[in-house]
Amino acid sequence: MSMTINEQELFDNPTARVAICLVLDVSSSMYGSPINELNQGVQLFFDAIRNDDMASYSADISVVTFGSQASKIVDFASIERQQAPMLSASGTTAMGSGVNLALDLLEARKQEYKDAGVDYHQPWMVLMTDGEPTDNIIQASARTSKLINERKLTIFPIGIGSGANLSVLKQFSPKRQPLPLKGLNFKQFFEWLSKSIIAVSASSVGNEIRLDTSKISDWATL
Amino acid sequence: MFKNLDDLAQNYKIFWDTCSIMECSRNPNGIQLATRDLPALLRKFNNKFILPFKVIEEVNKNLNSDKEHTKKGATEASKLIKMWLSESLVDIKGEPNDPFADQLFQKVFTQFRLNHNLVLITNDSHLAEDIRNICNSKSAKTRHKSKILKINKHGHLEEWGTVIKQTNSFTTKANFSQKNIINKFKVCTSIKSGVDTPLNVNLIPALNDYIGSKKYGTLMLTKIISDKGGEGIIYATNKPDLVCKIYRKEKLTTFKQQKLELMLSKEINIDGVCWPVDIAHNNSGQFVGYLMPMAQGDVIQKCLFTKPILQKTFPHWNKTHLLTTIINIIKKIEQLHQRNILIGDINPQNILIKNEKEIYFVDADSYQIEEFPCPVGFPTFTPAHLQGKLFDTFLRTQNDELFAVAVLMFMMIVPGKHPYSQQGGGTQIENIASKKFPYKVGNEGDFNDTPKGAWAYIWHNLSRSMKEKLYDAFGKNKLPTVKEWRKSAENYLYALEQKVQGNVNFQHLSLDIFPTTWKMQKPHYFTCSCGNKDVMEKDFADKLKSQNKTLLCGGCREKINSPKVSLSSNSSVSLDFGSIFKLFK
Repeated sequence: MSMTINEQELFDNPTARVAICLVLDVSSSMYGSPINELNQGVQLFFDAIRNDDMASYSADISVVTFGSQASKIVDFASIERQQAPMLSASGTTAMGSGVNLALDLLEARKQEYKDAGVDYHQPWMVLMTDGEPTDNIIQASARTSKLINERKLTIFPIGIGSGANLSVLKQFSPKRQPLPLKGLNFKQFFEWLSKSIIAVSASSVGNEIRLDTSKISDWATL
Repeated sequence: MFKNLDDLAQNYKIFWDTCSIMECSRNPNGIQLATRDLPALLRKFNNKFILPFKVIEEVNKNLNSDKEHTKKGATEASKLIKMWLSESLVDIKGEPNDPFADQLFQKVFTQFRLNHNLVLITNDSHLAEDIRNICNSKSAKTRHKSKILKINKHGHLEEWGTVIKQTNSFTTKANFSQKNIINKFKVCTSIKSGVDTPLNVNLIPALNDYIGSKKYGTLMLTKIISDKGGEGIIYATNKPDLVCKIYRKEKLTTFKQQKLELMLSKEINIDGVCWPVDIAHNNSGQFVGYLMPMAQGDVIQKCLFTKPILQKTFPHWNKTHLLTTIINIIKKIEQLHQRNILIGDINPQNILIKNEKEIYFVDADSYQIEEFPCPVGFPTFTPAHLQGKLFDTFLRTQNDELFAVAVLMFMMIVPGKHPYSQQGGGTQIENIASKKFPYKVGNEGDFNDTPKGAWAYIWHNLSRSMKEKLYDAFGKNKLPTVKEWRKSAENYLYALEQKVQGNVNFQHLSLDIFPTTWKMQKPHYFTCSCGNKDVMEKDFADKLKSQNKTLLCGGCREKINSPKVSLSSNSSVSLDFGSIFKLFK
């Protein structure tokens, strides 16, 4: 039996996985401190997951960015072999394409779990933008809404700065209110996110996850 | 009371078990029996007691027990044995790698009962029952007799009842066990009626606050051990080995207090089960939580179910260590059931392992006791018919618990993998509902949907009896009892220990926790030219050698000839399990 490293990681580890896709706005308006702060936040997130015994075997992370177009810049793999990406800002805001690409990746990953007989939690998507989409989001938001209503996806829509259009973000998230980030407090958000994932990785598949929402006031203005 | 001591001393080989020596040395009559009455007769008939070396090891081990009762018993027992030794009243028998004493007695009785009159003095009901079964086996006729005696509470010898009941009912099981006094709870069929009301508590103690205990006085909460649980916070106290759970205000109710008081009304005496030892009060004397012994080690979710952490935490472990761990876990469950306690929420986060012999059960306050249900549960350990139900609204049955035990067994012996995980499966809940078990034993089942990776190999290398039990549980909906699991694991361990000792009849069993090939009938170990060590079937190795071919390890074989298995998201790829299997099955 010959296997690639990816396959071996996927098959050998019996821990139930939670697939996470970070869907990040890298349009030109993010240029300067926003993109720098975001980079640091993502770096911190990768480190936190890597340093937790359980989360490092459970979290399965990918990163999609959207500027003028959507691209997959980190593919699913063991965190041991992954590096936090270095993002740079340019272009328009193809949010619809970004979300569609992320959903395709999450779906394909879930199918890989099923094909291999790997247990999984329903996937998570973190959607971050500082503006509003320059492409059509009708299809993408219909897809996320349907999955969320079927309890097959958890989404965290995050607005960066005052330019973020929260009512657009809301279209992706029928249950959870979009959260405007306080200042450029990416660090605190990603700290909270990694803690939540650590909590999920220590829980059993199908168990209700209690997200510690009391901590949200640290980084969000509600 | 057994009176015919002359007959014993004259005609029998007399074996003592650890617990009976300890029991004997606790009682003046027992001491008289062991130091005067029996020795006089032994001298008269030129006979001696026989003690396995393992028994002496056990006594020595008990000298260091944390439990005063055990420690004291062992001290007295060691005096007794020293006296026997100094007066040449005892033969010590033993071989390196002897199994545990109770398995050793089984071995000895199986081997010698046809040619000798044997008597075992034991106060362990399980052992007595096992030996009785051996002696009752009809397959071999013998004119020789076997007896099983115990030391009764008056310090006299007494015969175990002629029929030691073979029943798995929780209630009857405990009736004949004299080893410990077993304090049983009532069996109830419906949950407590009435309304559970909040207690009016004016202060919830926090870190560095003091709590009061009737037994232990005033204690300080010195450190947070866990604040993850939904019910409360666990603190270390200034009394080492004692921790305190303080409930959240909204969790402090009349039922909670009554349940804890019920739990405290009986001592359960099970090593490692962190049973409440006293109620904790705030400075107004109000119930706020309880004290319990401190657990040690790591939760099995981490150190057993996560392969890299298992290999890091216990690098020296092979399957004998794994089975010893499993047996010790199962025994605790068995002991709880004997007391009519159901764990209810069996899950990999409330069992902790320090090593294969030191195991701790935590969250005892959630156990199902009498009319108090266990209010929580892990869906992955819950049978299909209870999925989605609210656990605090009904009492679980023995059978519900046996499903959880079966899942735990599978996930311990096939480390970390859920029994119903499979290729083409859905969520775990859907898989449990489908009852499709993707493994094969004998002519039953198949490997078509076994999860990809080494899982089929791990399964295939298990002992036949273990596979049959697991198949019964998950393939046939026939859940083995806790005792059956224990037996199966003990026999498996015994076989592996035989292998370690070089017994050729057991060479096909693998000691690897994660074997990487199918089970070998006759394993041939070799070193590949690349330096890696590997194993293949001897017949296959001989065939290659006869063709003047060199033996290659799996890695090198693959490089040369194996087609790559590709994983695509839209087609299900079945595993190529390698050439060895195809050649020999």
